[in-house]
Amino acid sequence: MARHPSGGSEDGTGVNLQYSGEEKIAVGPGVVWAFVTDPGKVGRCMPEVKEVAVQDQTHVDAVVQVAVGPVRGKFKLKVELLPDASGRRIDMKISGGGFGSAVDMTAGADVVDAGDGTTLLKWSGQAIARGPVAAVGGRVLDAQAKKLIEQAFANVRRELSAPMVDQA
Amino acid sequence: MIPAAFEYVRAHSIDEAIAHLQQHGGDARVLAGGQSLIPAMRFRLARPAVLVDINSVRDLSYLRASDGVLEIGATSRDSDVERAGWIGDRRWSLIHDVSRVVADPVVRQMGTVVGSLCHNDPSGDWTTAALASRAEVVVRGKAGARTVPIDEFLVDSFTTAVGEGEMAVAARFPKPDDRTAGSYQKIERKVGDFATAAAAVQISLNADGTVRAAGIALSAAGPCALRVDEAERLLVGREPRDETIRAAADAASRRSAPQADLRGGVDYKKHLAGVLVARGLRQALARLGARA
Amino acid sequence: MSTEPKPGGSLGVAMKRKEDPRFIQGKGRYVDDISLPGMLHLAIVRSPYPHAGITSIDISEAMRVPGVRAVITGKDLEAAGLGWLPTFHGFDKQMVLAIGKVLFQYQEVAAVFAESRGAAADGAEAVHVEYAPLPVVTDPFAARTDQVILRPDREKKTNHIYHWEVGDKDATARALRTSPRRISQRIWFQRCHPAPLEPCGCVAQFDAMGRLQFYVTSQAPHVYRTALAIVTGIAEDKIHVISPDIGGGFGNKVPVYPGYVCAIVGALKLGRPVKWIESRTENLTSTGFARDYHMDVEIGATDDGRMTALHVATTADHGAFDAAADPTKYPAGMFGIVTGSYDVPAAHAEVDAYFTNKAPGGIAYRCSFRVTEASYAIERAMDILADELRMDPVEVRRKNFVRKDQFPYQSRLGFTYDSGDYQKALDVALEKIGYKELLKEQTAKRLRGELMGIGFSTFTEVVGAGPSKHFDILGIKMFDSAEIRIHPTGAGIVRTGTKSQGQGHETTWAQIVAEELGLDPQNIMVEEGDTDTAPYGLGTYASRSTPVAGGAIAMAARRVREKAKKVAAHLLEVGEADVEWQDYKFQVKGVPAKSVTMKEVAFAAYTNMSQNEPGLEASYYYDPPNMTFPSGCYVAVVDVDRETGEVKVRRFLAVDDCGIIINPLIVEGQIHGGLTEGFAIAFMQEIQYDSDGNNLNTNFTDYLLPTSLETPHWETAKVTTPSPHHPIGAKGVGESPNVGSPAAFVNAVIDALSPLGVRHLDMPITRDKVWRAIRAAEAKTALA
Repeated sequence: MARHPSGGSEDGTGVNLQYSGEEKIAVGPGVVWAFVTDPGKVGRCMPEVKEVAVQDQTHVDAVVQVAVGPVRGKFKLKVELLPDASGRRIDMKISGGGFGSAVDMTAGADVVDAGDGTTLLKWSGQAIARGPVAAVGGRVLDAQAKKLIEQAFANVRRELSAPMVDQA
Repeated sequence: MIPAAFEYVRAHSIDEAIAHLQQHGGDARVLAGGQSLIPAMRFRLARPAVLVDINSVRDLSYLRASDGVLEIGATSRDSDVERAGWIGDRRWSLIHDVSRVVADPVVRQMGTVVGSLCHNDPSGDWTTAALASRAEVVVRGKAGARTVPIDEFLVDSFTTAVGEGEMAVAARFPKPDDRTAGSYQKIERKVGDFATAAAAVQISLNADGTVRAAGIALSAAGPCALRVDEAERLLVGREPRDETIRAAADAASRRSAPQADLRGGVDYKKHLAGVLVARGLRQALARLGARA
Repeated sequence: MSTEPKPGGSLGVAMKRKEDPRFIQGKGRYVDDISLPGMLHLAIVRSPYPHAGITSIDISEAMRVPGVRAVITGKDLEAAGLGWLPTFHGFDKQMVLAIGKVLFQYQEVAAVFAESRGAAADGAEAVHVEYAPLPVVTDPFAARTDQVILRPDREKKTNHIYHWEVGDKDATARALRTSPRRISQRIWFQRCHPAPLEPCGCVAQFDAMGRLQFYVTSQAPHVYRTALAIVTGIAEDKIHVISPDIGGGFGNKVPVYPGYVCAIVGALKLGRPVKWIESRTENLTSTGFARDYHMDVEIGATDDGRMTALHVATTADHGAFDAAADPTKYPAGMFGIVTGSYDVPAAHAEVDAYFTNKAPGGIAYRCSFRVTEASYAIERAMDILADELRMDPVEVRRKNFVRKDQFPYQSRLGFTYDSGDYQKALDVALEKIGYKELLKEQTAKRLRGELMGIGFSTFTEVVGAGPSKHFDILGIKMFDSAEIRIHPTGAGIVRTGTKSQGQGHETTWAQIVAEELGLDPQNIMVEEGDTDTAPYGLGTYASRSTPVAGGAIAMAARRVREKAKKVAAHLLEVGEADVEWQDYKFQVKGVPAKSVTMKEVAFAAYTNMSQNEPGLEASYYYDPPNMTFPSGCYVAVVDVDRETGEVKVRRFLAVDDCGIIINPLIVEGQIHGGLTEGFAIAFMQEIQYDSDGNNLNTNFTDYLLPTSLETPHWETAKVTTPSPHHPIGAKGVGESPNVGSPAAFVNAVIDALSPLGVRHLDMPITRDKVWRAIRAAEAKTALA
């Protein structure tokens, strides 16, 4: 579930987008931490992901399919994971290209022990979109970006809650 | 800008168009007026592999008022509606108002009503009017035709109930009775701009002057055109007095969920939603010769 | 001097434009109509980042796109010595293609040459550039702190470009300090863009003789030729610049753009013609913008409204390069006109310019070299002064006008105004707009809480650059020229160094020649824009054509008349001294019956010239003795909807004084066009960058051009004070309506909102802005 705040700066420019939300995950924080610091697993949680290529321990490239009405195409994302030494917070830098545009996102998630064997994943993010996608699609961008980010974190929850063959 | 390469086919019948759409699925787009699709293609945001041109399908070009329904074919232009001989009748005042403010006079020569509904732009005018007047869309696919009420047809921004391999062939507006009038109130920065805020209102009165039915919808107030059922309920069964109108307007303002952009802030647009619903109701009532 | 056309004359005749039939039938010949055999198409790769280092440019995928023939980057150009080109102002240079880093969003990064436009666009998409983002500076006040240095390539590591000032700093500061009344206001003229209907473009070809044929949308073809010779090293006689029909310039087509240089380089390297036509987005985001002046205005006054001093300190946002096309000694153009129509005893104006991460430019959109900014500042400030003194803005203006008997008037900021009658223009305006009745209506409306406003703008501007002792572009003095040749059958051709982009030169110049020589303007052909045939000129912008080239044409025509007189004397069988030019004929002095027409003389010049030089032609290079000073009084009447913030312009009256009018119809066209632009600027136009450096107005959905449906109906009238130094007494008019109107609109809106305590709003006056101002004022009243 995501809370949707102002959706832009005071004068309503709309290309600087901020989101936040929370996912309740039915496994312990240690399992969640292992998941969100794994580039391959994070890459595969991107919505409509078509290709995932892990570059190293903290870098993964992904290609996602975007389809909003007539606008359809692929967006290339480069994800960098920045886990905090405390083991309780992970930051992410995501830069994407496609449709002659550039999207830069920073996101962060706090892995919080709910005390009952479950975990609260509190996340927030900020996106800056540039180019035709922002200029022409600005009116739709906010809602779509919000959807994609919500979906990504929901996918994390789903992956972790579903019974998995190996949970190491 | 220059669009990406695409294939072009011209259909001469509805069946032929559907066959093409079936064959190419999500890679194909229907081309009618092209007034939204072509700009998206020129910015390379839309890259259909195949354009299926339906402008030569004569069976789609009609405006038919009969059996209590106004049926508009998929290739009927905005300007056809604007210039129809019967459009001056008060019962059609909502649709008449819309037909005069969609985009600009040049775009209206090519743009289509059905195309507008299928495009489902959050700031569109026809979608909003369709909600207020309880319209339906006829969708044809390989298996035949189905009629979808507008509330279900409009799914999300730029997304409708038309599936892959299907095509909308007509829009149906119920014919209002002679105690019905409407109004479309649109604020735009200039002719041709998307609405800063807009409200569609259609109101039917009983013989005793109370409201029998009300349709109230907002444009540019969320991901899709938005029907404000709370506002409608506040009016039905009551005399349309000033307090009632203001209550309906306030409900619309509260329900409105616009985005801030260069046209204005969220608070301004929500305020406008209320102002325009109130003005629309007053104008519709004035057209009915009733006093608020 | 009468403004009615003389019988048989061409001056003051409202003839329809000779060039229009081809334009309205789609038979014009624009750069994009030119197609040469073997022509390649150029598409430019642009940066989505406003400030970033370039880590790498990968062209391999682009080179594999079918139809792509070559891709070049800044490094390639640098190797050829063409990495940078000098800006017209001469103090700076700009990158052709980015070298090392990018400095504004949409800056040019790579050039793709392909067989078709589509292939070029496909190729551009396939060029992959890696950027390393750097901190972004979009606020000139932040740039001023030098926390982020944008131009490490420059000698001085600062974002401050220059400081310029004029006037008496100490006297003005003293006068302000001791004035009984003072107002001070920051007035911002927002960044906007002229958006000509035809974007910029060119076709470059090296012909079989190695000559560069360069078709280009240029308002100044000769200057381009000289600049290209200097930059490329190609001899100037081997460069042929041709500006064909141009679909609107408005200053946007004065600078030399990177696309032009890339096209020329491509044509040279690939041995094939290259065409480059930019898209609307490219035009709006990378070509010469206009304005962006933050002006701190202070006025000192006596209690009864006499101005004692004026001080203006401006912070100018120039974008990433100083590409403001100003004359060399005037980095802030003609900003010194900021004393406007007023006799101010002490004045001081200063401008500090800064780099920011935005597109370069600043001089465009009928600005007359910063006159629009200056005029807006003083006209807005006069209303603020009136508000402070609780005086009628009309009376404050009247009290301070330069009087008719003071002309030629020497302003404290260095201009010598040639002529004007400001009181008369104001009186005409007040009468035609029905000022007394409007004031009564306004009083009644205010009692009912209705918002109605009346706004004035009594402006004086300065055009006609300009006298050689003050003005030059890249060192070339700003004269202009004309060459006239009359044919045996009485038709003729005139060529000048100007270049029309819609101003109607093909008609106006013909009328001047026809008037001076008693010929039919329909048979005088006008040719401009081809550097092989036209005499050297500085081009058309800042309303300089009629004052300067118009002067050259009149003087050249008079030289033709002098030669013709000799042949006429021979035909009339009298001595030259006994011939006079009267009623458009040569006649024997005192014997009107004995006369010959110019047409007869023309024929004789080729068939029966006797001892005189055969033929009939002359040229003239005109160095104007001074600028000219058009003026006017504009009035706007508006009604504001409290609930929606909508402003309806109920009436707009423009009383203009542009000196002697050559063609009233063309002048009306110029005024209507300029007023429409002023309306757009006042209410709906802005090129905005957010704090991340994104350009928010990249196409006509977000950068608004008004349509005929919402543009107000323009009422016009004229007052005429001829320019005493101009050969025809003409002053020029193209810029005036854009110079004078924004203040009238804004003053009217502020007047409407003044009962609520609103004193100033920056343009564009959007509905959202008006509504917020009303709400804030209502909230304040509620608290009080």
